[in-house]
Parts: sequence; C-alpha cells; structure tokens
Amino acid sequence: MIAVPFVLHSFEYYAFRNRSSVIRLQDETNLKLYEDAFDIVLVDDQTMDVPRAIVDHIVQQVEGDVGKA
Amino acid sequence: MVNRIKLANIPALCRRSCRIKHPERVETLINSMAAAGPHQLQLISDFDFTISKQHLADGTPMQSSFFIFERCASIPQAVRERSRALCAKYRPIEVDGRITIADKLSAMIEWWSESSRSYSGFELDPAEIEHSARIDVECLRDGTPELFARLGELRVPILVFSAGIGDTVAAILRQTNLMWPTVHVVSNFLRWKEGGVVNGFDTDRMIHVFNKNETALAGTAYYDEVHDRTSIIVMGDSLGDAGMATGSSVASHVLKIGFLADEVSG
Repeated sequence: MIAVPFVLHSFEYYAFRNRSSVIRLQDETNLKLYEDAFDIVLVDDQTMDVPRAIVDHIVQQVEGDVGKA
Repeated sequence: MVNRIKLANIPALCRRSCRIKHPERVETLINSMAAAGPHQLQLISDFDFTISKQHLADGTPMQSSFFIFERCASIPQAVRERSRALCAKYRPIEVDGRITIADKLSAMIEWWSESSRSYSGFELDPAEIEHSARIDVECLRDGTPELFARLGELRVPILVFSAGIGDTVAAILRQTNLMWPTVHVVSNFLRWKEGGVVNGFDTDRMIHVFNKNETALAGTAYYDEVHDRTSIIVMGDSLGDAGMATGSSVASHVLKIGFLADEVSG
C-alpha cells in the first residue's frame, strides 16, 4: 500500500500550532478538566497500551490466566 | 472464580503519564467489567487524535479527517480555504478551557453547519476519498491493530463515533485493516446528488464534538446491537468525548479514558 504523508503543512500546521498555543496557556486548567471528565487521563501517550491492558485483564480474568500475563 | 485486580498490578496504569484522580473507582470499575465478562463489553471511541495519534515521535502533528478528505484533487481550492478559515475561527473556541461547554455549543453548531454548506456543489469521485485515506499505520496509535484484533476476535462491538467526515474515517479504517465486522462508524457522511455532486452532510443529526452521546445513536443498527451491553470503555481526546456513553439505558460500568496532548513539551 502506498503511504501518503499524514502530516500538516503550511496553514494547516500554523492552525495546529496556534491551537497548541491556546492550550499551552491553559495547560493546568485543561489537565484538571480532563481529570474531572475522564477516569483515566493519558498525557502525551501515543499508544493503546492502557486500553489493551484493561481489555486483557477483563478477558484474562474470565479465562483465569492472569498469572500468565 | 474471578480474581480481584489491583491497579498496581497493571504496569500501563502505573506510568507517570497515566493520571487517575480516583484510583479506587477505576479499580472497582475494571473488576466489575471483568466480572461481567467480554460478552457484556463494548468500546466507544473517537477517531481523530484518539485512534489516530496526536503527533508522531518527532513531534509532527497529525491531520484530522477533514484535512485528509480535502486532499482529494477534485475539491475546489476555495472550499479548502473556507474550511481552514473556519478551523482558525472555531478551533480555539473548542479547546479553550476557560469557555464552558454550553458556550462552546453554539459555536460548534455554526462550525459544522458552515462546513456542511461549504462541502457542496462540486463533483467528487468516491475513489478519490479512498485514495486520500491511504495512510501509514504508524499514524495510528501504537497497538491499535492489536486492540481491534483482540476485540474483533472476541466479537466485542466497537463504535467509532466521530465528529469528522465519516467517508474518510471509514476509508482509513478499511485501508489500515481495522474494519472488523464488529466495527461501526457513526459520523458525518457526505450526501450526494445526481451526477456525483457532493451536497453537504447526509444527516439530520449533525455530529459535532459536543453532541456525541447515545441519544445520537438511537435508531442506528449499532444501537440495536449493543443497547443491552452493560460495560463500556469510552476513549476520546476532547472533553465532549467523555459523554459518548451518556444516555445508555443499561450501561452500569462506564470507564472513560482521555488522551491529553502534552502541549508544554510540544
């Protein structure tokens, strides 16, 4: 499969950085809001490690093989 | 016999990047969901910056489904410029933590309504959307194929609930082999007129970032399939995503996972 670049350019990049600046000024405010809204907040985590771990434990509990994980 | 899980025994939940305000509640939720079993489980996930990454390892930010859609060569440049102007106007409102969700709501409705009007009146071959959606799997969160495969094999329904463009979201899921039979996409799909002319979004219930909840799902095939499942994992990157399971009549265990970009180090 041909992989098309999946990044921002020119104005798109500017718009994203502008968005980042908005957030940067309110970083702590946003973290508090996220901690109030979500049970688990993943800060700058670009993986599915946490959802996978939770699903694994839900399934493995039923399978009774948690100790093998 | 179900063994009780301790959060301390799940390494991924012990990382510094993982913030849990009420650990006892989360521990109880996970144990309750484990006791209910995978046959009672469903996953509801946002797409942009949730299934897709927020940025690559080198800090390069990702595109939303709107921007990926606008790669289609047949889209007039004026439409792209209009879309970017709308983004510049409304995106800061969406992410401004000082503005209440109630105050953001009218702005989001304006944004999506104007976008729908903008995506209108030009011919577009659906094959262009498929082509534009050919992205590298590295652009998705690490472990996404494994998560979808695990849930797919268990026949756990996955709802990809997106305020983006459904045609592009579905195309990306197909191109990256994530479209398992149990995956459903509820989003803003394009409406077409005769002659392959795009005519805005095909929905009377426009989905924007602050109305994504189960009331928007009523009457859909997905709702019929999962409405009796009691355990829901919700994933999103926007505060509005936290309410995606709101309105579920039987869900008794809802675990919400939020992805917050670390803008300080970005």
